[in-house]
Amino acid sequence: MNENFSAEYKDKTDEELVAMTLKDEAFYALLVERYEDKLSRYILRISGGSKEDVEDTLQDVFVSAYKNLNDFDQDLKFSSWIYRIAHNKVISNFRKITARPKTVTYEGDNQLLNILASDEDMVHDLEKKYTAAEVKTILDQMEERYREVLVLKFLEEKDYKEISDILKKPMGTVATLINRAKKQFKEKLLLREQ
Amino acid sequence: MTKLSESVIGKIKQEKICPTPRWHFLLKNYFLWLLFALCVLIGSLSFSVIANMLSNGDFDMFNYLNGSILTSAVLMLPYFWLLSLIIFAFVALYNWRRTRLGYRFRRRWMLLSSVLMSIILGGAFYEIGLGSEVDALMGKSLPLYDLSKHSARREIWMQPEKGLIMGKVIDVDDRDEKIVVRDEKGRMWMVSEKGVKWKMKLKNKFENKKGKIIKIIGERKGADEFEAKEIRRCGDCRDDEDRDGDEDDRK
Repeated sequence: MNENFSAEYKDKTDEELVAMTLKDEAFYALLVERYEDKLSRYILRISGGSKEDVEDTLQDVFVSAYKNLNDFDQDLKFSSWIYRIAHNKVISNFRKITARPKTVTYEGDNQLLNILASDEDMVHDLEKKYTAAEVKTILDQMEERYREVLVLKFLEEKDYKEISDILKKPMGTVATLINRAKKQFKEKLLLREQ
Repeated sequence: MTKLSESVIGKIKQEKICPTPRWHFLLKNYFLWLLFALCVLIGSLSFSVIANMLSNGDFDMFNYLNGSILTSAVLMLPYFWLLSLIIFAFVALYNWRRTRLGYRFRRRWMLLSSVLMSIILGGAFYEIGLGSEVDALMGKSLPLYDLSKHSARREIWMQPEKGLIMGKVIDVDDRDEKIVVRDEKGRMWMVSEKGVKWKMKLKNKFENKKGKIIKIIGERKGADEFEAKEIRRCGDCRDDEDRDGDEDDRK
């Protein structure tokens, strides 16, 4: 598939590409290309696996998504739907390898995480900057249910509805989890500084 | 085409992978909703029986009971049906959660909603008499069910010294206003019902008193004599007309 093909259909929405894929599988490549980087980073963030493991999982995600393409409908965004598949694949694949998936953060993430850390209700020196390594350590210590919402909210920049659709939890529950996750994150930050 | 997209498309073609047909997902979703509806229905039937049992209960009889009010209330509760209502509410919740958009609702509200639906529908079922029908059907199908229900009732009503008896009307003497009642132990009682109005619990008016199972509040006058002050029909007992065959013939 050449660059002209990709360029021709780059303005198509995800939903349109899904409809086209169901008629001709070749169009699926466009969806894969659209989401491979994002999902690769997400899988790496929540699993901390090796490059090979991530690639294998990523391929599994896209194949699984293709098989279940008729299950996708307009009730939610395609991105939420495919993130959900990626999330579930990581849980099932990495639970076979390790009891506790580790977090990976990128250098760009610490800026977003500083937003988390310097939340207005935190009585703390707001000029304190945190390295990606520090943030990663804290995230690794957190319970999985808190870590996954923090990653989605602050690193993947998903809104509450998207997180609700990805994790298949009510929005109210998502809001509660994020509040508790932020609280736990800050407590661990303070502990580190003491 | 990127390396990954090439690999994914290659795998799809090589293994001849096809998207699962849409009807498969629709069917699964409808099936879950059907299971949910079934659970609500069973819950409703359970509630209708509870309503029937409570309406036929003798909660005003607490004063006559041997134990404390709490013990008596505990004795009278329809446990089987309460448990059934709770179990099916949870099963309904389980099925609802697994529908396409079930995850969007909080569990507590889903549980509450399914219980409320069962109560509302159950109330309607009770009004049309389904509660007593289901109760009677259970009694016929499961002897243990009838037995356990009766034992609580017997606890209250087999206390002649306290002016409480229960039994089947064997004979009626309209002229002297007397009836002969046989209790569960087979003992015969001559009951005077002068000036006493029968309290009927069922909607249908009955004309023939013979064969009916009744509860009597009154005073013991002799070894086998009783003066009634109040007579109640046993709303959830199986009278002769509810049974197959004649009980007297069997005895």
